[in-house]
Amino acid sequence: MTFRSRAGAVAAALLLSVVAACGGGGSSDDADRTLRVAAVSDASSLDPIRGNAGTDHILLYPIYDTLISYTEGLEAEPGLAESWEQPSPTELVLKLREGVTFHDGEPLNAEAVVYNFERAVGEGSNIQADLAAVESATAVDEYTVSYKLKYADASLLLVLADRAGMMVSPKAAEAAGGDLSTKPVGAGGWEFVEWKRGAVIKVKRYADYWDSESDRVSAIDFNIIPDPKTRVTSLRSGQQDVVMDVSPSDAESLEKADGVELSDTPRVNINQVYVNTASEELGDPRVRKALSLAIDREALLKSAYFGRGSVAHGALPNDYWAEPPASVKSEFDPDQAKKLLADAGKSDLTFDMIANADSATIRVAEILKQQWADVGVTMNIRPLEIVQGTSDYFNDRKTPAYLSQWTGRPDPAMTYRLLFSADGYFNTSDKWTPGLEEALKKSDASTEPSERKAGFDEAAEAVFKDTSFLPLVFGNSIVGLSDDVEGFANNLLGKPKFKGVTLG
Amino acid sequence: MRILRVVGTCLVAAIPTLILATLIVFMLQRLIPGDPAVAIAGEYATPENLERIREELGLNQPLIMQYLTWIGNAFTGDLGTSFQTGESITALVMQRLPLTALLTLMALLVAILVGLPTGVIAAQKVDTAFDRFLTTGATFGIAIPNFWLGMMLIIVFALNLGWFPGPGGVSLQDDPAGALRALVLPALALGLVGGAEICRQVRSAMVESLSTDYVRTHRAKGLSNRSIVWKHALKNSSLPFATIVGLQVSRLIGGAVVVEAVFGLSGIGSLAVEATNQRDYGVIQAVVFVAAVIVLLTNLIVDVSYRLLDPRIR
Repeated sequence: MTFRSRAGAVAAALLLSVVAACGGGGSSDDADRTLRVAAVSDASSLDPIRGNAGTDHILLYPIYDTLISYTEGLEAEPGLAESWEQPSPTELVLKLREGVTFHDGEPLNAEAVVYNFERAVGEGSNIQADLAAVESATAVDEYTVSYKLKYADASLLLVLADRAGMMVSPKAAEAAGGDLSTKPVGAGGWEFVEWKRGAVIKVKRYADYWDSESDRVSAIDFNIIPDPKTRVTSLRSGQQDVVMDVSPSDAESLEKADGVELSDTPRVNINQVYVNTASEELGDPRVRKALSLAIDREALLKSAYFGRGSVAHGALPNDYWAEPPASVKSEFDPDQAKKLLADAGKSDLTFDMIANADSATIRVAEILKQQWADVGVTMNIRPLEIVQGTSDYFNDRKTPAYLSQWTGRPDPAMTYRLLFSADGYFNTSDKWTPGLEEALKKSDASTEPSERKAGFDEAAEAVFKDTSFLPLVFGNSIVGLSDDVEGFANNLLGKPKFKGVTLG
Repeated sequence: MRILRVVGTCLVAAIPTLILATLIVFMLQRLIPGDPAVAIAGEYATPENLERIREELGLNQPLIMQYLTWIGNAFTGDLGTSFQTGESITALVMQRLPLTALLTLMALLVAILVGLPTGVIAAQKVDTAFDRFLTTGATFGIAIPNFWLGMMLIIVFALNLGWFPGPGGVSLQDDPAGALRALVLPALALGLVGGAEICRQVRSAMVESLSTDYVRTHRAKGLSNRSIVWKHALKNSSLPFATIVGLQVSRLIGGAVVVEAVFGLSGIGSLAVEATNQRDYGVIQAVVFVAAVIVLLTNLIVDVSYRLLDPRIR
């Protein structure tokens, strides 16, 4: 029997090593091989006007070039439109690049752009609100498009760098009955090959791309790996070249690991507490200011985000062209907080806060609970899974506060409007933050960042004065890269494009 | 002929179970809090978008009508279309089922290869240190969560030793050989726990068989130990063995949900998780339906095997 069991063990070991040895194929050293990217979640749709998730963009950019592009710092730069001008605050004229073709060989001209506009404001589109200011789009000549606006809205330029600017082939859209979810045809650097739901999206280099000089890998596989730990081990074991959204808790060990690098850059994604300024508990601006003053954001940044990010004073980060002015500064002053609560007659304030039920968010909620308890406030955490949390807070308005994120938008005015305007979906008070409407109007007169800045300064001050929300921390965009990857550049949105990336 | 009749009876008996299972799931998933329209609109939620989506989904029909339509279509192989993507759910499930099926089969193989021999050996050495070592090990094995075991296997065999590929990027269709290799660690993570359970059950069944009168008679007439254990005693322990293996199948399918997440595999386990997060009712329903069919088929096979293994059962 001893011999028998030993023989069994040997056989098992042999079997294991045979299986381990066969197949063999790890990554090849070929510089023209496929780039493997681990994405956080599957595309909600590959049709730009039908998708719903911010995580879609990195999957869409390779297939669709946008009319306007943006720099790493989110300033507009030429995309499919090589230039633009603004004859008046209510008109935007785009000059298109000549000779651009879609992946099906169709020309990208003014007519195609107009078709895309009508599609984006038409039935089945998720992004009608983005283009609400636009009255009409017309083709002036073959390569000139003019947008007429109902009212001045300078955010249109960067809206055209988002989903609304992703141009689809009109012919393909017609052929697909208006829905390109599974048969995307754009004018981007890579054309669509295959989509296996929940597993992988494959694209390959488009030979007739207009910017033929740019560095583009021969193909990209976007592997869908939702679990953050699994993404990291996948990179470390050589299965991936790029992994999106490394959690701050994994970043340090990845930094120390061999063969991998970390891209750790700021982004506009903010961790914040949404508050209902019309609620009974948090309706008094003094109470909201007190809650804000009671938060030690430096400690929060260090303990909950492992120092990877920056303290948030307003809705937009510093080192951004629309950054809040120096007067907007979230101080930590528990004594002043207690005083304000006493003034408001709310020294024994108690309220519920919904928090997304993932371990990182709950950790933040617990720290907030403690910091608020220090000034006499009782906050009850209501952990909920994200869909239920959003539903309960934004639709049913069950609690006065919600700890979650805001992923940011290409244009600062979009963020201010969605969060703090009377009809912004993410504003549960249904009221404008006092003074904000006027401030944003000032930012809409021109599309030039330098001319818009004064309006945004005022907007930031209005939100700060009213404490319409509790900004906490801007978490960095942390991306893991294998040593083979060169030329990777992230941007402030945390939605990198893969043009310029090469495999060494 | 007898077998055919048995199969027929079992199949007919399975239909009410199946219908009941789908009905329960259908009602239960409506209790998951959270509005599917919110999940579908995502970051682009506006009151108008939400209203439009609710209308499109037809969630305003009476529940019982929704269910009857669904079950009617399901029996003709049409599982409906996904809320989230508008695609055929049958195609979605068929694309992701093979990976889970292969994973479950490999895990079952691991469970049997580990559980059967260890159980038999432990039974022969009852109450020795070796037996205690094995049964304690098996108890630990049952207690270990498979996601933890999975992470440990990844760290040791993929990251440190590099014998197997790490998680992610497995495609059964594109690279079958690579996929087979990539499934070894997940199959171990999933199957070892089942192996521990099989070990314990086989051990107690064998202990009982080995203490019966006919075994004593065999020994008295000089049959070799090998023949007694592997031919006679084991055959008489085969009913509990078949039962536990049948039970393991449903365990493994359930466990696949977790193991697929740890290893970045896109089978129906991860499909169920995605669908739940997205409140994609049709897809959840379809996954449960498929899982229920597999479990019922397994029970059928177990039932039939009883009759083959033991002629006393009619």
